[in-house]
This record gives sequence, C-alpha cells and structure tokens, in this order.
Amino acid sequence: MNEQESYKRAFDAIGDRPEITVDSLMDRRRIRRKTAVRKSIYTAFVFSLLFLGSNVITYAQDGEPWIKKVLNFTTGNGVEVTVKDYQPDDPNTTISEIKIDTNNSTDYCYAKDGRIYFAFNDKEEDITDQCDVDSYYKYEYTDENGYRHLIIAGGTTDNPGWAEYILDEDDVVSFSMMSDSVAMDTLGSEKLPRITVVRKVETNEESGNTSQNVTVYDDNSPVFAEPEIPAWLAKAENDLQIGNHVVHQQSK
Amino acid sequence: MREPVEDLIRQHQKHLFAAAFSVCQNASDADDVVQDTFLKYHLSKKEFSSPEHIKAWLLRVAINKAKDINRRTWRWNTVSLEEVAQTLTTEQSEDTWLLAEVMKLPAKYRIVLHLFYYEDYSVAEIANILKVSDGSVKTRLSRARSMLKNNLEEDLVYE
Repeated sequence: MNEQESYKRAFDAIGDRPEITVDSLMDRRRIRRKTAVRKSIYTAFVFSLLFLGSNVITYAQDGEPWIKKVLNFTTGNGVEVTVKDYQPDDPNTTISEIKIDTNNSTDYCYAKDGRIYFAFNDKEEDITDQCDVDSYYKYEYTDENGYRHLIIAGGTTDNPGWAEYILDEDDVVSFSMMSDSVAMDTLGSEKLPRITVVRKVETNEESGNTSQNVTVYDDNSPVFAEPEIPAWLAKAENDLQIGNHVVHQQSK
Repeated sequence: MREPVEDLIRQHQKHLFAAAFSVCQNASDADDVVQDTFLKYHLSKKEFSSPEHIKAWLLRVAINKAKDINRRTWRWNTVSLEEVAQTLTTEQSEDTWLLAEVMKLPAKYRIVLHLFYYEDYSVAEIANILKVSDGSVKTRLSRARSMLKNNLEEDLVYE
C-alpha cells in the first residue's frame, strides 16, 4: 500500500461528526451574531483614504515625534476609534494607525419577529418597509468632532445589515465599517484591532498626474480582498455619491 | 445553479471536516469550520456552474477558515499520535504513524497533500482552490513528499 492509499484509509476512518441541520446552522448564526458583529467591525470594515492634506496639526504627544493628527471618537453604536497619523521622512508617504475598541458596541440594525429595526441611542425604529435586497434606510448625525456619520441599513429580515461611513469636513469618506452580514463574502479573517495604512502619493513626471497607492496592513501583511457588498449598499453608495471615496480593495 | 444545503451537508460534511482537520489539527475547531462553511453557503446567494464548482468553493472556504483559526491561536508544529488517532479512529498503526508525520509538516504542505492524496485533485484543480499558481502547488507537493519521506526514514532508523 502506498502513501496515498494509507492516507486515504486513515481519513476514511473518520468517525461520525455532529449532525448539522439548517436549524442548527441558523441557531449558530443567532448565537454568534452579537459577538461577530462586534468583532467584524474591525475585521470586515472597508477602508478609505485618510485625508491629511492641509488639515495638519503638528504636535508631539507622549514623547512620540512625527504625529500629525490624532482623532478619537465614539460611533453611535459604541465603537471607539483612535486614529493617529504619522509623517515619516518621505514627504510623499503618510502612515496612519487605527485602533478600534468594540467592547461596548451594539448592532445598529437587526431582525426581530419578522421585522427589521434600526437602533440608535436607545431608540428603536421599524424600518422594514424601507429595506429590501436593493433598497435601504439612511440615518445621519454629526458627532462632537464635526464629522458627519452616514448609517445605511438594508437587506431582508433573513439577512439585514448595515454600514457606517464617517465623512470629514470636506464631505469625504474617511472611515467606514459594516456588520458581518454585509461582509460575509470578504476574507472575513479575524484581525487585530490595530491596523496600519500606508498611503503613498506618486506623481507622474510626464503627465503631472498624481496617483495614490494605499496598502492596509495588519501585522505587516496585506489584509483585504475586494468585498462583495450587497445590492442595497451599492445602491446607497451610488445614490449618496460616497462610493467613489471608499476604497474597497487594499492589497498589493 | 445552487443545491440545497442539506444535500451538500450529506455529501461533503466528512470531506470538509477532513480538510479542516488537516489544517487546524483539532477536531473541535474543524467541526466549527465545517458549520461556518455550510452557514456561509446557506446565507450566500452565489451561483455555481456545477456540483464540482460547489465542492471546490466549499473546500476553499473551509481551508481559509481553518487557516484563520491557526492564525489566531499559537499552535505547536507537532501533534501527538494520541490526538490524531482519537479523531480518526484508525486501527492501522502505520496509518496513524503516517498521519502523525503529515501533521508535523507546515500547514501549506499539509493542505496540498490532503487535496492531492485524499480528494484526488490535480495540480491545476488544487491551484484553483487555493488561488495559487500551478508552479506553487507542484513545489509544495514536491517539498511535502520529500519532507515526509525524510521523516519516515528517520523514524525507521530510530525504531
């Protein structure tokens, strides 16, 4: 008997595994969902450029040089985000470090008793009639830093989801995150809460055009592939003109 | 085309478990991977071109999920014979011995060996599942078999 036959015989001897049914799969999803949403906020979020441009505040904090900007905020569902922008020696490169704490996070949107609800600041609103495979509900607010938050919820009672976009003073998306139901088709691997973005601007000497390369790192490895966002979210990004500013692909 | 998830569970649960186990080397984690894989299929609206396409997709998802578990948890490269034997309930000592040696290989070599030996996939099919080049698969297979051969020969010397 050769190696392959021996290997096959060994794995063919696998005993019965726990029974899996559709009900057990859906129970598993319900139990994991709360946790998965919290984790997915920093495992599945779609990243956009952090615009530094002229909005540069230079100061040193905690003895660290080169920090250009620090942004702290808490989203409407309790996610705490800290963004630090560093300026290394190369003037065409900026490095941003994002830390995300989801320990106190909740879900903006969920299904209950056959209806879809939007929850914000302890208020719950039935948004079922506005949500479908290709239609969505929109909620806006401005935080204490003056950043506008756009929350999009959509989908069906079987599979509702949400995405949040944070726009800076120039109405450009600087950050976004989404629930796991939206990001189910991404790599989905659990990431650490510290993410580094390296943004390098290059100018073509002949044409004078500039281009930007953005790479997102988690432990020094590229992290994201192109996520397949659902139809309702794609429609929202198109209607609200925010899709162009959201970088869905970030890998070399 | 799509097939009901119940049918896929019947057809592929054991295959997915075997693939996941070959990566994460832990029966409990492998069971989790299998459930998450079928859940992902059930919730997805993705269309497939054939039953073979579905199986390849399921294996890819399961392998990626198993790799994620490995990334989260520090795991030793060696696995005890007892763990392997308990999970696979094989009665043949040489099978257990071979599997224990396979489980000592790095994960990327175990995966290609498993897809080649157990699932009978060709190099091209394995490359498609893992989204790597044919050359990478050939290299990994070659190295895996070479390492396995050396390990098995060493074991024979020390017997």
